[in-house]
Amino acid sequence: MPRRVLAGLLLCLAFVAPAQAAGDRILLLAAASLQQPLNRIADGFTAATGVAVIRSYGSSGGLARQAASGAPAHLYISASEQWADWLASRPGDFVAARAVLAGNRLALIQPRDAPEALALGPGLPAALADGRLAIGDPLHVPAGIYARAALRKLGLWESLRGRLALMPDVRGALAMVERGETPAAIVYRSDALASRKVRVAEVAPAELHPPIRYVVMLLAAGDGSAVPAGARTFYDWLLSPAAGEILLSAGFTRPDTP
Amino acid sequence: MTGLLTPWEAAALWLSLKVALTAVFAVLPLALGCAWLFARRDFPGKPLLAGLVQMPLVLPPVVFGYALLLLFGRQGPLGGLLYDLFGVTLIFNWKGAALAAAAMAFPLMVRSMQLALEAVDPDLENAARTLGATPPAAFVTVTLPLIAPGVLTALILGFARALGEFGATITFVSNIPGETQTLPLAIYSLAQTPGMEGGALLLVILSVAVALAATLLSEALARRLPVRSGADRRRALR
Repeated sequence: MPRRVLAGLLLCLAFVAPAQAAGDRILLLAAASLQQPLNRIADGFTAATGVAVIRSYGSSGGLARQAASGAPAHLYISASEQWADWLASRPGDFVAARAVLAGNRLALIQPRDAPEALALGPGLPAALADGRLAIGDPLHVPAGIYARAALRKLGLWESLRGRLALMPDVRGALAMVERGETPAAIVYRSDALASRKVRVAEVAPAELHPPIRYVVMLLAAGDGSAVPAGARTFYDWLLSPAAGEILLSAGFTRPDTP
Repeated sequence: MTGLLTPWEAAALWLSLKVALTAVFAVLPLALGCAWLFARRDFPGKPLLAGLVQMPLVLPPVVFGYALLLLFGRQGPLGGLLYDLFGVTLIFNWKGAALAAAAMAFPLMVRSMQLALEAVDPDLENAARTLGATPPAAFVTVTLPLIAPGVLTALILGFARALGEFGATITFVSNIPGETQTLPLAIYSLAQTPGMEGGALLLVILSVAVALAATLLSEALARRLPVRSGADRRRALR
């Protein structure tokens, strides 16, 4: 092997090795909707324990794929049981522990200064005029899957399916309404509370969709290596009453309530 | 062919071709004009304009898509104007995808045609004009045939870039099946979806097939073009 290549490889190792050995950094893959409260919880955890929590937010489906493909993640939080179950069913003992972290509600939102109030009902397609309804891509974004279920139950899916704007995660749908590019979106109630530029037109009745459950999983990284102590401590920290309060104040619900 | 594909996949393929071809042919005259301007004229601010034309090539596509969203969205200054004047909406629309693809293809197309133009001896056009050809006639009958390989290269490069456009498209027009979900966006969606690996793989193979077909077609076309350079033509004139 040419010496220069070898030197380059060693240089790379020099960057990688300390991070792996120290174990004072843990990687968390989490549903996009958890961003604000989870940042607060993780910052509190780092201040108390000195363990840094690297966060990667995205659609729960995409993150499950990453975890299953060998992403060196220690924790995964899905916005739906569907993707959590999928990850648990992968070959290799992925999941060291699992719990329901929180619940949430679905909400129809519109720009804060919109003149007319929208409602989840037969009048919605007409009220959108030539605008679109932003939702998460129902292929992989849980908020989009819940939204599709709710629209189906309302009998609106067929009339609206050609008039949707599908976003790569739920925060993308929120951003579309924030910018006024779509007159409405279906997101989580907690997303609506996280933005000052939107208002909730209607919180979807819980019976319109399967219960929204955020599932946190402690991952064994797929390679059989032991779960670092820091990751297990953070897992317990997430399920503590203090973290629960932060989630509640951000608009999430308790895990046991719909 | 469509028997092998679900309607969803066929829609992504068809839309990709529609978006890329529309983008490339719509922007060709403008790119040719730009190439001619850069190759043949000097004017104040030329380096700045040349730099601006290259921007889509240099900027991260997401940045460019975000800029398009701010400019051409419903709330954007240009998007609002288009809607008020013509009732045209680009956002969430295949025309918006074509705009993003065209902007991405534009610098490559200008570049390859500019290089071809620079290789053509301006004296050939001058000679045509001494024989009575108007400047446009001289351009069409003398210059254009000479730069035909460059134009073809521009079309192929532009098509390839347009076909592969992802970042600007998903940022500007989102990912709507049948409307803005081109092959790369469909692959992205499937790659994000647990359990859909097979579907993603099929679309990847489809992309390779389209790219290969385009390359082979361009090779075949290039062979049919007479190989002519400025020097050949000069020799012929003597």
